[in-house]
Amino acid sequence: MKYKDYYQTLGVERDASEDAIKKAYRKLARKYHPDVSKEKNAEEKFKEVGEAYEVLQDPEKRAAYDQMGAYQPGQDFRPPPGWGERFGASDGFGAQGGFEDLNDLDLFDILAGLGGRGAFRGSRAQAGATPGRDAEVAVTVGVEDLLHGAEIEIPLNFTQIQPDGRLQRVTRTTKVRIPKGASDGQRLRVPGKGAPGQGGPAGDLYIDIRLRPHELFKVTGHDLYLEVPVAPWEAALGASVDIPTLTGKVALKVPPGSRAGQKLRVRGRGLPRPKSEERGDLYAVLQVVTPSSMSEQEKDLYRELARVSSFNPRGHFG
Amino acid sequence: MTADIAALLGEHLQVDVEELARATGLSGAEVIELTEYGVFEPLSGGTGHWCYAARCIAVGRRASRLRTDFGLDLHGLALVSALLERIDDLEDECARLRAQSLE
Repeated sequence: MKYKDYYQTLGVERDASEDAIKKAYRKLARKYHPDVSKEKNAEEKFKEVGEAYEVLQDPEKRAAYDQMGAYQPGQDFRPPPGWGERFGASDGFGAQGGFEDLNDLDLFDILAGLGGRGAFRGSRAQAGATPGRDAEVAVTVGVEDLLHGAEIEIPLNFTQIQPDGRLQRVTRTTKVRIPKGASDGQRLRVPGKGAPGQGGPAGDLYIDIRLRPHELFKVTGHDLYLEVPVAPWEAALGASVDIPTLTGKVALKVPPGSRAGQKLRVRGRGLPRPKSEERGDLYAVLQVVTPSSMSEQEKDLYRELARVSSFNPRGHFG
Repeated sequence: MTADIAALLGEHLQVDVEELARATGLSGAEVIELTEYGVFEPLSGGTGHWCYAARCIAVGRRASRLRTDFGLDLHGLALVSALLERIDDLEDECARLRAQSLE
């Protein structure tokens, strides 16, 4: 089992008061809470901070943790002999407090079971049915997945209590169908696919869809935006240009006198809307581009155009 | 392995007070009070018998986490939730403008 230094995580001394621990937690929670933080790895950091606080704010768990001894973070360690019996966790440690079955367990799994919510105390098993916890995962998908729907496999880790009271960490993979109509930031729910209950129903699985950036298309809601470069003469005279969509090329009619930044809507070429056969739109955003190098003939033609044209793009400056 | 179909928590699926409470970890009374504070916008029904769009589940689960993790009371929770909703709206607007300008 790997040691975690909860005091170091909260940045407090080992003899810190409850009040000091609470203050340290609140400060770090404000910084890393994933619902309010933009820090990198906020979710992971908050999990560490929350775990440390859950142990250190509870006198019984804190005492049990302190009695385990102090090691370097990440160091393999074994709680001292008798620790399990002393803190009422002997059932979870097997006969005579042996630790051989706990090697793949997390320190927090063991401490979380103390303090009356005993994961491995007989009292919990006798207390009646307990529903499983909900699980939440963020899943990154591509634009094509949102177009067609997709099947994804989600591995989830749970700590389960075995019939003999021992804790066991299990990984279960759930296959989920993401229906058409989802969008970036969409939340989905799969009933009964969270953590298993103890005699009660399993929790639900909640999925937060995150969209992987696409090489060509920018996505907002169910609409797509595509930058379409056009030559000056195409913008001036109008043209029909082939543009890519998620379902093949279409001909885009560029009207005469178009300007850079102009948006042309291609109806129904965006992403599917939920519970509907309709799709969002694709917006072609025109970018007027000039050749990086020109032949003498091309330059002469531009010079001729400049000579004969009365167009003044800065006329409104006065 | 057969795939389970995930339900979109959007505008098309509706939940009542009891279901919203169960899905968020809030009590029914808290759901009703937060509705009165404007955190949840019911689609229909009278006081205590409201129906909500399932998107409220995500709002409620966040509120529930914030209550637990920061020890907020319902007044504070309503204020924080309202501010976070405004930030969400502004971020959506920024994302839309960025997409349009193809940044």
